[in-house]
Amino acid sequence: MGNITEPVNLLLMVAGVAGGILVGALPGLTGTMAIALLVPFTYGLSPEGALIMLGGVYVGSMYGGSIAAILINTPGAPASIATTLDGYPMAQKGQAEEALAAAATSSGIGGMVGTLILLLFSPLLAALSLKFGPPEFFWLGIMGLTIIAGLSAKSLAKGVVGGLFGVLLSTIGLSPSTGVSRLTFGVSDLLGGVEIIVALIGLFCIPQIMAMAESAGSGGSLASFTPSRGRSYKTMLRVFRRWGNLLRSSIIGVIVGIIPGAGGNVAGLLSYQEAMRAASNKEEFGHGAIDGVIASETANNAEVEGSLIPLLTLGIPGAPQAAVLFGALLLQGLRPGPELFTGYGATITYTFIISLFLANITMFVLGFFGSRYYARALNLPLHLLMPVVLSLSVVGSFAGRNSILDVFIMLLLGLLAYAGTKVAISPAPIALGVILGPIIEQGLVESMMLSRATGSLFELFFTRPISLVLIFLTVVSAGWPFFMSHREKKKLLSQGKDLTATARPIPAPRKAPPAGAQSEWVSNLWIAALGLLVAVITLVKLQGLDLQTAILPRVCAVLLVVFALGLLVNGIRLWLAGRVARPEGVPEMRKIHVIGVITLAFGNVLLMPVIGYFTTTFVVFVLVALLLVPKEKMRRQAPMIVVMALAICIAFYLIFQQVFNVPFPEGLFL
Amino acid sequence: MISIMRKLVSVSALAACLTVSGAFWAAAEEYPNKPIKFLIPFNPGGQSDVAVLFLKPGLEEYLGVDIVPQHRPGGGGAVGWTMLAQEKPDGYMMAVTNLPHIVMQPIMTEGVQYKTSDLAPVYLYASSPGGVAVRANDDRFKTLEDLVTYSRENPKKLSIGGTGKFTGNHLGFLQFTQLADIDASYVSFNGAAPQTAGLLGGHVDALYGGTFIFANNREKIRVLAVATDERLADFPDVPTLKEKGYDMESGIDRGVTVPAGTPQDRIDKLAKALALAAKNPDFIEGMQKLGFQLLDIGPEEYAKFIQARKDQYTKVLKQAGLLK
Repeated sequence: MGNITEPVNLLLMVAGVAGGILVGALPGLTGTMAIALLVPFTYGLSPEGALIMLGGVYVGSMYGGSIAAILINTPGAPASIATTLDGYPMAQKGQAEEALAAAATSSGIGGMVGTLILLLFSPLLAALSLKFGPPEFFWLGIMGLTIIAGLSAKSLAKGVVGGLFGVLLSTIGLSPSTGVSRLTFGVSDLLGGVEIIVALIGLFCIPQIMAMAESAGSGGSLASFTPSRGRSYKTMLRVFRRWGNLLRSSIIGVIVGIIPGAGGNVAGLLSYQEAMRAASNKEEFGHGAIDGVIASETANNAEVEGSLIPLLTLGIPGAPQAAVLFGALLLQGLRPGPELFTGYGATITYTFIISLFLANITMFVLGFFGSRYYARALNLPLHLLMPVVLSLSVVGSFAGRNSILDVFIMLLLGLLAYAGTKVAISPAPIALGVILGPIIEQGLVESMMLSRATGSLFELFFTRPISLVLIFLTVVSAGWPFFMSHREKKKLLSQGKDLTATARPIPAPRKAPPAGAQSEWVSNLWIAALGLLVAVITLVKLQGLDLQTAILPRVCAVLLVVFALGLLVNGIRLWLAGRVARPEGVPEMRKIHVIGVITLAFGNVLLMPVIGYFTTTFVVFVLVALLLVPKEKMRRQAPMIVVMALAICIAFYLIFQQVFNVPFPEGLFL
Repeated sequence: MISIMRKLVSVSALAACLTVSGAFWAAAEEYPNKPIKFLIPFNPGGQSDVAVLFLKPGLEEYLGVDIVPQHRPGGGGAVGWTMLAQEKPDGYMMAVTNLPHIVMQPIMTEGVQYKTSDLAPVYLYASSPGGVAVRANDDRFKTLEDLVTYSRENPKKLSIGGTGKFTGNHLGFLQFTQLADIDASYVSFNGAAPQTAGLLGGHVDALYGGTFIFANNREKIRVLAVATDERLADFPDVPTLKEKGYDMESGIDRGVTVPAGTPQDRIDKLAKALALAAKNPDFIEGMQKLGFQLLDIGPEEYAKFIQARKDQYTKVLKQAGLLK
């Protein structure tokens, strides 16, 4: 046990955590990639050293994702998707430091509780993890989807349409269960499907970029942030007082972690949902509730330790990162299972587990004391911050699979999500669909295959104990928003209030509508039209495919038709009723900025292979910045812009090309 | 910055070469004279990565140029192999290549835009054999005979977990059930981890999987038979399917290919380099730890091997009614 205090091991751990935070914070680089990259280097280390370092990266990257989520509304890694929901609104309210400090504190606590559970209850939980078969997997995914009901208080139909679209996106490519391709439109690169990280960057980053483009020119910044003493400490104490949330989220995180195939993103989303349900201030969720950040970040760090439970005890990794760690273990000659808990193996295992404890403390320290510095990024003027985020989106979507098509998909989905903000569809339900679609599909199709042997699909789905629990939770979470609003109505009725005046118990968002926002009836018609189009194309393209390959996309397309028709009817109804007013207080949109940025973004993709990645990045960065910079500041800012563009190129060269071996396209130049 | 320097150097070198055209041709004929890309059509951190990692130093030593690993995951490898097939056949890109993937994808998957013949075999370095296993505490199936008898008496009732369709495991499952004349139900899991969990958790009765799984779950899994020619050193007590009267071998065979049309002398040079690199003790140790059986098969034999596998698998698929 003394091994952990060896200076080399401590150094490796701190380096791992710091590197992990950086990788997690950069959209597109994930902990999985970083761990995979480091495995060869750890071959030369002692088994303890190797595991300590890789564990540090795993822990650090889980927290790092929250930094991008809070500051620029983009999950730095898929696991921090739920953090965007309240972390970014907090930053917009000037509470970036609080959000970051809360993320660091709750990540640390989640990780430490997770480590404790890993230390004490591994065998028990390993047995539980095996109980999750295909039907349970299916219900877990369905239960996750019901978060949409909570997120879309304003219009459930719009949220559902978004979710269905997301699930459809996830079914593009080879069906993992049947090996048959669908919805690839003859593009062979689409056989690999739409990568989650690419979709997330597009759905969250691009609308953010466009929003910055719309409001740039006034010389303002994304959100105001003024550092003040003692803020982080106060937040830390505030987080400590949320012990119920912390405990619940840690447990959810560990349980999702032990299930092979469900990772940190699912953990964060489910615990966010439970936090919302348990909270007394439900209406604050989505508008900057600190409990939302706590729930998401506690759970995704507890998931780290959870995913190690089946890995260490059974040799079954509970998450992609753990799968890569598995390779490292084997190369060190360590076989998961009883060997790891007796004799020589036990020394290594317990050293590793204790190092996770220290890694979480290190992560907390780096994150907590860094909060006020990270938050300063917000004070960058928009004409500098926006091109930085754009370059990051491009490099991040390219780096995952080294594919220019991925950059293109990212931009396309991004524009769609941007258009969505005008018709009051938020990217979150779409992202949820993309993440949960594969889980639902695998659960469903594997259960169908299994039912050939057991004889009854119904029995598989509706008689197994864990399934029943999940179904119960699903019904409760899908139902509670309606139940709540019903109860609210009743209460109001009993008080003799006029219902028509207060029909909506959930208060309107405090934010002003975005520039170019459409009136509700126009929004409904647009969504209906697009939804129907997507559904029809899907149904036509699915013709002739076997049942198991086509079932999920087909069901989604049919549901999409139903909900799109509903929106259509509703839109017409609103129009007939004469409720056609555009939302009030819609700010003016700087069309020239919007069109300019879209052109430059697509130009970026097209030019990359022609004139080379770095040249393109530099040129696009400078052009975008010049487009957005206020006229009167142009002269003074120009050198700064060029320096920044160069710095970005050099940083990308060092991190992505030199360290991560990303083969950037080279054209005429670089 | 370094690349700019490299560009400048190569441009001036080119100019110099053009003036002395004789020298230019000599330089161009020297193969290899620039880095060779080593394409891995899977995600970082997979088993192919490990192989490339350990082959790299030996290859660089013998060939005298850098070997640059590059990932291009997607579609179970199809995206990467399509990219390789479209690459210039000059010997500057090679790819990790798996069987049966490159045989199955072009015939079974709509939308795959490469043909098996677009990839020229260079070297086959390892294989992960398949086999049939059950839970160690499942008293119903002490031997392979128990399993077969049970399945004969209970058509469809026996569920066997594999990974994907038209994959090594699926084809092994099909061939085994055909030879044993049983009707079992195939459940396709998404990877070895859920597959193992599916067996250990009692969701399926048995699995058709790689020896990789067996080696890492010795206490919890009873291997009933392996699909190899001879018994495995790692499992001396486990009979082969052949011994049990089922004449088959199956598994996932891992090698290296280049785009078809690459000059034969370059293929031979790469093959020789790979064969030497595969002698590296780190490579041998690493592959064995991951449960691979090492092979040492050059271009010609590799081509025959691919053809034999193709014949074997198409026959299985035809008999299963999955291919006309």
